[in-house]
Amino acid sequence: MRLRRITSPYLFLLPLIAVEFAVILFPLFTIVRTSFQFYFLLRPEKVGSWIGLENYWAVFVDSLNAPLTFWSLRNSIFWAFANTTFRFLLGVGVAMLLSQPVFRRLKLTGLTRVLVLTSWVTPGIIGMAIWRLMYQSTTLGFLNAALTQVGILSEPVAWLEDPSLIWLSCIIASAWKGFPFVTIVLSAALVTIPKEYYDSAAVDGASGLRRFWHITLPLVLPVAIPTYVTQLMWTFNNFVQIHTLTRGGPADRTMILPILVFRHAFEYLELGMASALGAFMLVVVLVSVYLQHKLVRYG
Amino acid sequence: MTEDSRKMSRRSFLKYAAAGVAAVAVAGGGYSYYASTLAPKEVIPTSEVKGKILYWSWDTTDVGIVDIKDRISRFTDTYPGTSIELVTIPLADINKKLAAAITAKKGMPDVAEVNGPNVMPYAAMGALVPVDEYLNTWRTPGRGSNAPFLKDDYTAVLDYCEYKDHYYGFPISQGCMTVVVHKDMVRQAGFKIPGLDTPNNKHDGTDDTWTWEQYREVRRALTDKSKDVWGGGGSGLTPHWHLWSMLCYQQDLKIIFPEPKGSDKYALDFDSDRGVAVMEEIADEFQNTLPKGAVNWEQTDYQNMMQAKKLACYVSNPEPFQSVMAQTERKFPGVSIPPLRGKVKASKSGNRNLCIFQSPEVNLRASLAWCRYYLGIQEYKGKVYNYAYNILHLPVLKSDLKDPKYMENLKDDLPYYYGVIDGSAVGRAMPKHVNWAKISTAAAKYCEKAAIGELSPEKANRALVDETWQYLKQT
Repeated sequence: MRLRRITSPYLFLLPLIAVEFAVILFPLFTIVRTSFQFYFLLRPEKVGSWIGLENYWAVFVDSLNAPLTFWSLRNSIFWAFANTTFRFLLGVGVAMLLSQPVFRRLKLTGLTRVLVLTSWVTPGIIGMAIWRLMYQSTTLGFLNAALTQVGILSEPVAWLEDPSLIWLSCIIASAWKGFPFVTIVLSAALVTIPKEYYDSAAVDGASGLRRFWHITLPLVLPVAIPTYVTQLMWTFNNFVQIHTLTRGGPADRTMILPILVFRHAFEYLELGMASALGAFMLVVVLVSVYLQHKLVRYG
Repeated sequence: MTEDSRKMSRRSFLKYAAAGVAAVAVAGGGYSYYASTLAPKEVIPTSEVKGKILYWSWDTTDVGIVDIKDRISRFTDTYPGTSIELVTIPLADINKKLAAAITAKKGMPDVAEVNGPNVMPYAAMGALVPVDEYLNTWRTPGRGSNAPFLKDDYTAVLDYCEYKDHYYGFPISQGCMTVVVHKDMVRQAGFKIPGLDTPNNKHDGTDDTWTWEQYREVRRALTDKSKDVWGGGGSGLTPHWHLWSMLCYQQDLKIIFPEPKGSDKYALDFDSDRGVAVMEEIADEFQNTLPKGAVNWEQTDYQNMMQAKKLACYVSNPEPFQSVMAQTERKFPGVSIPPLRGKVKASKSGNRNLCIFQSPEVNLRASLAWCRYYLGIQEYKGKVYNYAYNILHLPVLKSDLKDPKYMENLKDDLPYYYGVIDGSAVGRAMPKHVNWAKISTAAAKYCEKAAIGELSPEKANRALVDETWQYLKQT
């Protein structure tokens, strides 16, 4: 009886542990193990043999591959931070807007939330394919057609080729997809802030900006910081958006680590090197999770 | 029943169950052995072709799907008891799915269409059934086949299918570079369209057609940047190494592999002024006769631009040729597709090959029967019937299937290479484990750098040569 009382919680947890093992831990273990093995599929006689750190050397040190690896890492970090920050600012702005009393008075809150969530529920690849068509570099593209029509542009722009525009174009498309999540999370946080705080501050003569800085921001930070870090991780690992928009081009200009992993695995058939990059990305994500945990505790 | 008798009965049950499992294992293993060592000289009796096969095709055009379904219907009428599950997967995805299935050793089809350069990698991975003995059997005079590759004097089309002296596939079509043009735009500019507006269309090698220089002249004449109208260029295929390889072919450039097999000498023809000329051509197209951003285009972008009368021409490698041509002509009523002559001609080797995949579940007999049927070797009640080799989709040969000179013309066409990476070059490369994907990715990268002006053509070609050498040295 006593034994059953001790073991039964674990028995209830067993299905979850089994799923976690099958879906998360075992694949992770396989990736790490493969990163130490020879896994070039065109040489099946050697596939699976232990080669130690050779794959890591090949991607991080070998002069043939290392430059692109570090270029991709640089792009990935820039893409993650710039995209997340832009998305966050947009999400915060929309959340603040939705929290205005006018929406509640006009009973538009529900409708507005549905409209905001439309981009979030659109499948990623479809959304990015639509943006790719909009960014078409001739007047066939919606953006060029609209902007040349109203006189903002004198001639069509190559949104996905011009080096000064390509990252901005990708960030805008990605932010459109991702800001609703930030909006919903922060809207929920804003709702929990007691109205009396704002009333007291207003009585004391605080301006809108001061109320935001001294009331809204500190009370929303415990939610905002983990959300930001989570978005950072998701963006760092995201493959679909850049691959659909540019495939990492032109000429590897927008190459990021997830696309480089894909290239090594499915185009070069070098699964060992792809796994080495994947293991590196895993370490980056684990560090982010640790930082998020610390920041939450700090919050 | 007593406890002892229950135990006895349990023991007996286990004994019989073990015997049953052993019997199944022996039978299954025996069947597998039988399947894998199917005596090739047998004509596969109709009664023994049964079961289901999974067939992957990359022909996603509506015309092609109708054609394949018709063949499947006729096959299942000929072989009652069989069924074919057709799965169509776009060419851009099918190789990735096959590679994933091969790696996982799960989910492989019985038969799949494999494009030329991928037959050997899959064979190297041990994923394909060698088909030498079936080919030799089907070549036997008197078996009623006049398929060229089944004749001893025309085995070139099998180049892509050869790996370490064995064959691993049945070629079912060859490729051809064509030019897709907007008829109205080109005619309004005063140009005649070969094959439509020119009088000499005898299909005897002297047809009026555009050379590459004439095609360039048309593109430049039709470009009007102020009106956002472009003469065109580029390739309906990404990545742009296709365009590079085709242009190298124009210049007769190639990677020369060790000859005889096993020697160490490589030579890169494109490490030359002519290689630089190829990069200059690419830079010229993307900077002068195509709008900015075209380097990111895919085939649908080219088609949309043409539909909107903003693009006059682009090069294409339609595959499968007939169905893509038919669909393009239907989709773009103003468009015609004349052949480009000179050296931009038929592929020497089979672009599309039927391969049978090794797996414990492969239905080998039915798969072989399907391959034979697709090739037009029709068997019925033990007799083999004649057929026409109707799978070479060259535009000039569309109406020539009944022409007695067909085979003679075909043989003359075939010595031309398609691009730098032709079947025989790939075949010679494979034993050295050259990773072609890396070389073609490098070509695409430096083409794009030249196209967008990031590197001059000279520097782009130099960088490509240097990187290609590094990959070759790695092998």
